[in-house]
Amino acid sequence: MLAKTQPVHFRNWQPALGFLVFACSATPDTVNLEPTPNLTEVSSPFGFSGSLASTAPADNQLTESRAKLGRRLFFETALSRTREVSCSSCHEQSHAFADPRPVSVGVEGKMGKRNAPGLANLAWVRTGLFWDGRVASLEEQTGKPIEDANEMDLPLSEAVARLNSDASYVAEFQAAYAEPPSELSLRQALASFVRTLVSSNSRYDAFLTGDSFALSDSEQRGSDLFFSSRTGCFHCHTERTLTNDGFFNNGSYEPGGDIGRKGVTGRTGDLGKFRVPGLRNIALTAPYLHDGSLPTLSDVIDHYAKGGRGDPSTDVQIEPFELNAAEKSDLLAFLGALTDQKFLTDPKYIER
Amino acid sequence: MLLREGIFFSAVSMSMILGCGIASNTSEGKQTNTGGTATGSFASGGTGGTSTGSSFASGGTGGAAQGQGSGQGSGGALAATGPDGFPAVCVNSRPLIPGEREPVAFSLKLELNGKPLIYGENNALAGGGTLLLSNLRFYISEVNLVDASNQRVPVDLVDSGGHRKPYNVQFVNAEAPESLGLRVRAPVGTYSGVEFLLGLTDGCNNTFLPLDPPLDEASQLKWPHTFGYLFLRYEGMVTEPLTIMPSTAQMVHMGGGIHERMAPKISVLGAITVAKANAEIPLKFALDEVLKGAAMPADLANFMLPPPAPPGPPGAEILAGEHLRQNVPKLTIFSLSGP
Repeated sequence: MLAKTQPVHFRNWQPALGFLVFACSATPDTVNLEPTPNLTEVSSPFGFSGSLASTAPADNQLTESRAKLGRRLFFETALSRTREVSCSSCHEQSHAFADPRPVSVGVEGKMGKRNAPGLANLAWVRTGLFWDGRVASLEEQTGKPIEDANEMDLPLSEAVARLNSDASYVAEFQAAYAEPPSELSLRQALASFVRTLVSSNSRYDAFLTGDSFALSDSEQRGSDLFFSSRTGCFHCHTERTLTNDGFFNNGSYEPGGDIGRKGVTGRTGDLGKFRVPGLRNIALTAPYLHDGSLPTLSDVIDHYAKGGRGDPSTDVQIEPFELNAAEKSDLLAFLGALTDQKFLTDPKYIER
Repeated sequence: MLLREGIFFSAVSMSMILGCGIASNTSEGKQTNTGGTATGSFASGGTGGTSTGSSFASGGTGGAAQGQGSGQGSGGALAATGPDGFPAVCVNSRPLIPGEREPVAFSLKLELNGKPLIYGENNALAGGGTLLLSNLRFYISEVNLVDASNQRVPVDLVDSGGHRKPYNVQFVNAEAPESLGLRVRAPVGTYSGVEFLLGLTDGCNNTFLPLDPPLDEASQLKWPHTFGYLFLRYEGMVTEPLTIMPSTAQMVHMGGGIHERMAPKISVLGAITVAKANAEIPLKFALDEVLKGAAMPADLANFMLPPPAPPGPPGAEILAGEHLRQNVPKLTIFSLSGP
């Protein structure tokens, strides 16, 4: 492995710099070696601005008790009208907290409209959540699926009543928020847990932070393609966060289809725009796009290579390109290197 | 966080790997704007021109580089200038420039052919047809007012609470109306104009380590190749009149280089009065001038993206951006005018 020949090109500058930084830094990150790691003790992924704690609003500062309460609520089926489903029903850890089904299935088999996206690193999102960005914060977002008729279909007031009828929940809310369960603290607790879903241990992360040998030759070539003007992937999926936190029409819109961001802003130019997702663990969050219409990453590459589905509303940066089979394989390999196995199996995210 | 420590290492690494002293190219422009009408032209300082930018050493005492590690907040470090004549290091936070100053608010008015430019909507083109504006973002930094004796008076960019903006940078995003308000603190007096960089200083543009907003990747102006930023990013879709032909994409991505191809300096002349209570001052931004500049001749013979460059040739939008960057001195992108 160490004898592997590294192609000489720009990507090799970065690990060298990373090494220098690591070697000279005075205060290395601490590694939590406790058997059951705390949810909130986590470093920000390289390139994400600010500590995890700093992403929380002043009225919902991140504490361990709040995050742990949120974790319990995340798996709580009593938050759905029929007690059938919980947040975790559509956000599975083994799929990076995404839903392997094209659209989510709520109470009594009701079908949602969009694919449930992965939940990694949402703490750093600042431009609005959901595919269309219709809510401004995690605290606002977490109440919506509970009330949505196609998802959990339970008024928040009823959810709070159920929680207040459970002495153990009342005690946990008291410990976390110094009050019995309320609509606000319910949303805040869930937001606190979602905020702790941090993924930063993929081999690409290792590469970003200085491990020159973290990527195979094929993955390295795929990275070069990904960050080239030829494919243009990087226009939306930036180098470190792998999302520019924006909303773009990626060519998936077809007349009569989901209008996306335009439904929020009313702007002509927002037709068919959807949030640019981060790509960590992307190999495990199939199916793809906001509607789950593309079953595989190979299909996704083909979609962009075609320049999308052809509607004039497609973003100007979605331009057709050609890849040969080897290049496509390299690009897929790179996307696979974004998988964070620790995130997928981390026991601190498991129901308890 | 570990890797957020120490802009010092960024500078060291850059020096070691890229080598300091790569040819610098400082552009300097003059724009005349009298009587509220943009009439002037720029005179380029050309290659190797001496920067006339203020040292900005004032206020550079103390002030640790927040989020950028230790050791860079000293007055000496801030006083050091890069090849563009501005601070060589990129400092998130430092004290406000001392002295009694009053807030002044410039209000950016985005225009196309003299008419308001609306984000996300079809805007009428002069020759017919429409332009759908889908993205327009840029940085403004190192703002100076120019006093009656033609001396530059450095001013801080501040937020509505009077706090200095991170990195002393204004991030303008056509999608976010709040970003169009450009507030500074200036001494009471009468001025003959305002100057600033359309982009970032060399110090900020060359920083390797992740920076805080508005210099993070969410700005959509960060190069994906470790170093550098776009100074201006524009994307739109043009539909010609009376045609069934598909719309045409327009993209201009104006960036800089590492220790070269600096952010163009904008100088806008016009009377500016700073008093105890100040009215909002309209500052027009003409997208048509940007598009004109992107189509004007430019010397691309030696154009290459700075190392580490992305694989493959630069995209057409990057080349259009370089056309614009070189031609900014000949354009009147910004102008002062009455309300």
